[in-house]
Amino acid sequence: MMRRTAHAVVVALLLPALLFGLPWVGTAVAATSTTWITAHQTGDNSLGLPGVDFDIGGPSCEFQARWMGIDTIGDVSGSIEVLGSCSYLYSVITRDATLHLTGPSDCERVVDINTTKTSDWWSIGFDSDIAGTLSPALTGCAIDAYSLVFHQAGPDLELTGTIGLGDGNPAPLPVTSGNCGAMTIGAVEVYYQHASWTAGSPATYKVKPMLHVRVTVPTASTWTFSGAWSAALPTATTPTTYSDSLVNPVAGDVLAGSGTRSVTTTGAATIDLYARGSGGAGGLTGSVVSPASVTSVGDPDLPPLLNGSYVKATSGNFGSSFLRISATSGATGAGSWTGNVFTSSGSGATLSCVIHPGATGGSDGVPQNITPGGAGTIGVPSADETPGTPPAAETPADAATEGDCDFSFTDPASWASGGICALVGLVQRLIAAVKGLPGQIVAGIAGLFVPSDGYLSDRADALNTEWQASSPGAVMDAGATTISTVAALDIPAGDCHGVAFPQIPELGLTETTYPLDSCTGPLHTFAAFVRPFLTLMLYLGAVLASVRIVGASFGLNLTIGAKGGEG
Amino acid sequence: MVAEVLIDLLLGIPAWVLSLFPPMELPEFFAPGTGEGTIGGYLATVSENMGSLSNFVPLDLVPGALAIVGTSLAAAVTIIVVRIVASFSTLGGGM
Repeated sequence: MMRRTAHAVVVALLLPALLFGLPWVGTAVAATSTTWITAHQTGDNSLGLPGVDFDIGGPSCEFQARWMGIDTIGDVSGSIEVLGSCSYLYSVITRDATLHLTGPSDCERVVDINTTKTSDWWSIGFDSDIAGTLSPALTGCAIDAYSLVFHQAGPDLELTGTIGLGDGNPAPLPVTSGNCGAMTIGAVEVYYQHASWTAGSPATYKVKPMLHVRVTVPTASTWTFSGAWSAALPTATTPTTYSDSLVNPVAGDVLAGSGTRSVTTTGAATIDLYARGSGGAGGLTGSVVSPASVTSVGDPDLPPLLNGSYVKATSGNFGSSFLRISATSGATGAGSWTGNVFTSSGSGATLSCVIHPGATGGSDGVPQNITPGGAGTIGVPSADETPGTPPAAETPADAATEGDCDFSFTDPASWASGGICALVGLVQRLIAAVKGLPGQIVAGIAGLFVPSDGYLSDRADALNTEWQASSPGAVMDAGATTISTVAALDIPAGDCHGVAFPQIPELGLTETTYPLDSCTGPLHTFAAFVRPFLTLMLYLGAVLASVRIVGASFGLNLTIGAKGGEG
Repeated sequence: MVAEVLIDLLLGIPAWVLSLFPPMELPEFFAPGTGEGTIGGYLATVSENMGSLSNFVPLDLVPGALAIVGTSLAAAVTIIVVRIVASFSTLGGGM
């Protein structure tokens, strides 16, 4: 029983990893940058002990650096990204490492790297926040004149290397318009405006949670927004204007996710970005409400507006949704609404901006704007202008059609013309309803069994996040890291002299001696025998251990020298 | 909708199991690389100090041997998991 339970736990933990692959890699954000510039360093090998010089080979380091996100307009500084890797002697190289950013006159700055060196490639990026006065240093100075000096000075080692950031390397691309510093990003809010139309007559709608953030940009440019949001959202409130049986949204309705969105603006613009993970969790699945009621009718001279309904304009992780106010046939003008149409609360998402200088085309359009919360106005979209407009069954235009027939029970004169007219209209609606039936049945079945776009990937991403944040995920990650570290160890090869004893005249040692010198003499013969033997034993032991390990996975207990029945 | 419920059920099990584990922060000892105070750092120090004996002991071959054993361990775990998963399928057989 215990073994079966253990198997179930193992499967539950590892099955998603096998299904969706490990490791999961997060989204990367491209940025304006220069090419990588490489420099190599070698250093003295002295260990610093008085009178002692262990000749164990000098460490070597390789560094790369590049400018990131330079804005030549001047009000936003860039950053410098540095990669480094040193051969060994980690305990020496970690000491007093500083990075000097040298430039003309008063532009020189010194930045403490303040990091632990490892034998692997390591990276560090710093910007004005870390460097303190780095930002004003960049303003007015030619960036080609800068160089990075990597300097490590400990009691036993000193390394110095220079990376000329502008020496024969292309300068960063200039930003011709727009910059992130002038962008205004509003607070991230949770909305429940995302809706999807479901088959049926009258049409019904499901309200799903979304994240919303409003960004204002000052100029024409192509903007790429990269967003990442967590599922750790606070409990939201119920939309205030709904009197229907709307299921209260709860924390966790918005699942974790990420994505990007590019928008091209022709001038100063306000951009509403919407993001959603998945609406299936948290009990919202199957919560169906009738089209929400919008009571205000705007201009009283216009035909009355009937129902306001939420329309899903596009699908995907980033969809632009807007409030569509259905009107009677032939209505024109603008509608308005009062009260809090949407509720908002919460936080927990981040948004970053990256400029793509000089980019053209690729516009995804500017989503329709909705004033969050309170009252607002919006132009009534025509069916042609509205992407994702639900089928005709949703638009309640029947009232006007029947009114044109001019039929009245109290006026017998209208029974012939008006009655026939009404009857024909009724039959036409009946035929239309029957013709649409197969399509709606198929759509209904498809809606039942076909998951929405990105649903599986969203859930996999959420599970990935949970796995990485869990204790088993951390342990497995540490185990894999340890194995890779051991396999990548750079063990220095000594020479045939072996361990050196220093000169200690007080003890009669007037010169450096090598007690295990195997270059000549008996120890040379001994070493020539011992090393191949140990090499053979090492590989033989590894192979035998591997056979035993793999055999154990098949239930075999493979041993050497065991009696029959034991192996 | 049905498929989404099935996906939720399938992925909900491991998510629920993961939620049962208390949060844990690994000590610095297991940090990646060969930084000071890490397992990689200790191993690097040992290898450096024993480097002068490499004419007798093939220390430079030890990582390769360990890699063989580590690969075998990974293969064994994979085999075990595949066997466990396969054991859940009766392939038409009965109890």
